[in-house]
Amino acid sequence: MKTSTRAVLGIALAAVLLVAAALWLGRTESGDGTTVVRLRLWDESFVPAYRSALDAFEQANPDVRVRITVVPWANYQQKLRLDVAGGTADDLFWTNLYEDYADAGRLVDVGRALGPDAVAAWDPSAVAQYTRHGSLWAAPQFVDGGTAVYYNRDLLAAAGVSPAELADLHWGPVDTFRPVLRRLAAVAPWAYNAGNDFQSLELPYLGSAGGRFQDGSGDFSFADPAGVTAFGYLVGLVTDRLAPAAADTAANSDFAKNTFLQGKLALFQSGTFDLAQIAKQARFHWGVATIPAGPAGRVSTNNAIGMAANAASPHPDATRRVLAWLGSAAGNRYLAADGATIPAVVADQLMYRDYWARAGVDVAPFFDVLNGPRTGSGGGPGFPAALQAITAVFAEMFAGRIPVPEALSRAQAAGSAARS
Amino acid sequence: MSRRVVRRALTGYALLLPSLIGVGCFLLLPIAVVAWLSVHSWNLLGPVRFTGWDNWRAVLSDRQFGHALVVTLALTALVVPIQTVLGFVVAALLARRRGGTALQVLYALPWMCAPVAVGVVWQWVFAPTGGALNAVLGRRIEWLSEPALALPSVAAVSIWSNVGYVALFFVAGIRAIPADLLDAGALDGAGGWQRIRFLVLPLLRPTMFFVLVTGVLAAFQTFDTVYALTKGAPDHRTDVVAMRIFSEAFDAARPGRAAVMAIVVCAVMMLITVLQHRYFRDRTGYEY
Repeated sequence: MKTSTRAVLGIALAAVLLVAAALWLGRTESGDGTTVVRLRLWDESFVPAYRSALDAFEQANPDVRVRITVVPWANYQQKLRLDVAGGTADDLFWTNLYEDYADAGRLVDVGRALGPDAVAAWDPSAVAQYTRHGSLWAAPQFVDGGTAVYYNRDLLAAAGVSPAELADLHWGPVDTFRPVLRRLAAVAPWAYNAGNDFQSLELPYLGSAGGRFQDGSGDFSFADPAGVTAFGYLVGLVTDRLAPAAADTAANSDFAKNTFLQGKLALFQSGTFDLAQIAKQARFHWGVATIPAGPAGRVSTNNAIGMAANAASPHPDATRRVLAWLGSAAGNRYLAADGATIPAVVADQLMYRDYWARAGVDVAPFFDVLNGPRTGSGGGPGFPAALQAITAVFAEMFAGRIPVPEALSRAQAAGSAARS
Repeated sequence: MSRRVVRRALTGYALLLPSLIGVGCFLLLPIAVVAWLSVHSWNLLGPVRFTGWDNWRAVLSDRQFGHALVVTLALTALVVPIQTVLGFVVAALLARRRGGTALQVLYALPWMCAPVAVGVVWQWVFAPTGGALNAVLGRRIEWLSEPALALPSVAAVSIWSNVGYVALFFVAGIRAIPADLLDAGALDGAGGWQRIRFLVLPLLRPTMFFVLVTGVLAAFQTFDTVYALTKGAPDHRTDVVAMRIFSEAFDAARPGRAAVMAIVVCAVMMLITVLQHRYFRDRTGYEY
């Protein structure tokens, strides 16, 4: 046989093998007749908990296999939209911005599919977040709780600040917070993580100033006097070098968390999603305190992550069964077993608190703040694009290149234009 | 028509078929889809609606898109001349030396690396706190956040990536110049710089033409480096057209407008290429 003929045959064989491999990997029926349901997450660290939950499901349902795919958060939203548009999305997928999909009829009505009993078991705030036009579009999986302040006990001691002092701090016209930060700045490179952080800083400050990110009709409404008060205070902390420079936090979204873990940041305002990592990696004494109160009190946002079901799934029944399991008390509690997150099933939430109590961490500040008023975490059609446009203007505001009132007006206009 | 003629014709078409399928699937079809998208509105999820010239009107009156074109032109103006000059200098030093081939590969390594990986590494190099560059300089400079420095910093990374690749072409061009010509120049008393100025550079014009045309096209398509380093920040100072098209298509979910942008950028690139071609048309032919 000629060399050229061999080469052509080799290429043809390689092509056939590649196509066969692609078909085999993308199959939805396994060789033994079981149905393969695909599930998509954006956080690798949740895979063991989900795998345990799904192993239990598969034992009870031998006709169904569940395959987990992880798509990193950095391009999760873009890829999901493309996959749903192209008909290649997984049967089940994590979501937090679901409105566009629900409005386009791409999601299963979870409330109808799982029935009222399932809905009654979930955290009401999570149910509210995923309810649109009277229908529930995702099975809540876990909630973030409220926002709190992680503190470095050693730095506090060096500055002569007691943890109890943190419990009753105020910012605004009567400002007891900034003097404490100045004392901490004398013993640490940075006192506090004020910066362009939507969920952990901007929303709580906006709410604590009496403002809202969006009004009742979903229009952006943060460029009002309350917004100027909240963002003016945050930007002032950066300008006064009580927080890392905007360039540092813009270049690396984990800069504040990393500097806290390195013992260079005294107070780190964040959510429960950082708790497990801090507990594992912090090499100093630390604790959790409530966020400082603003002119309108102490207001935090609470966010939940839901599991949506693809309306175009080729296995609607198997998909519904997996979803029902993951939304049940028995299936949901795997997420809390190692203290990773707060389950959305209210009956399981005590497991989370018990886990951290056994570990010697009082997580009450994450929950106590939610007993007061809360502020919405934002959403609606076109929200991802709008938030991106807004965040870009906020970055310039935190860098001190645009005055706060002007930046808020520009950001609000940019956000509205991006979603139009 | 004889069977032999038919058979020859069929054989010819059969041999052409793979190329026709390739051109059809990967060139003509995408062009047709982009043209179709440019007159439709679609958010990738809901129904597709015909909107006529609405997308064109929106894009052509979009100041951010105009700004992105200017940023791209500025990036091209920074990157192409510098990488061409540096590429030539590197090639001149390597072309006729022992061990030059190994060094060529070494210089070309950055071009072989994945651009996003390069961007991630350079992000650490440029980091204001804890970054390698500021550590070496011993002072704090916000390379990617300071509006005046952001675009030059991105350009520097592009140049660093491309110099070795450009040098490869110049090395090939220099090696193709007969040694007799250079020796004759030396005998006539031409010094090193004069030989480069009056012999090497004129004879390298075909290579120069290729390097400049492909350099401009590559600079216009810059995306990965910007995406990894700045995502268009600060204040859109590094918001190149490829970034704008990506953002419009996948962040804002307006592929129709992104298609219009792509067509406009394609037209601009074609215009620049034609101008370059006209400039070099009568300057690239030499016989020796």
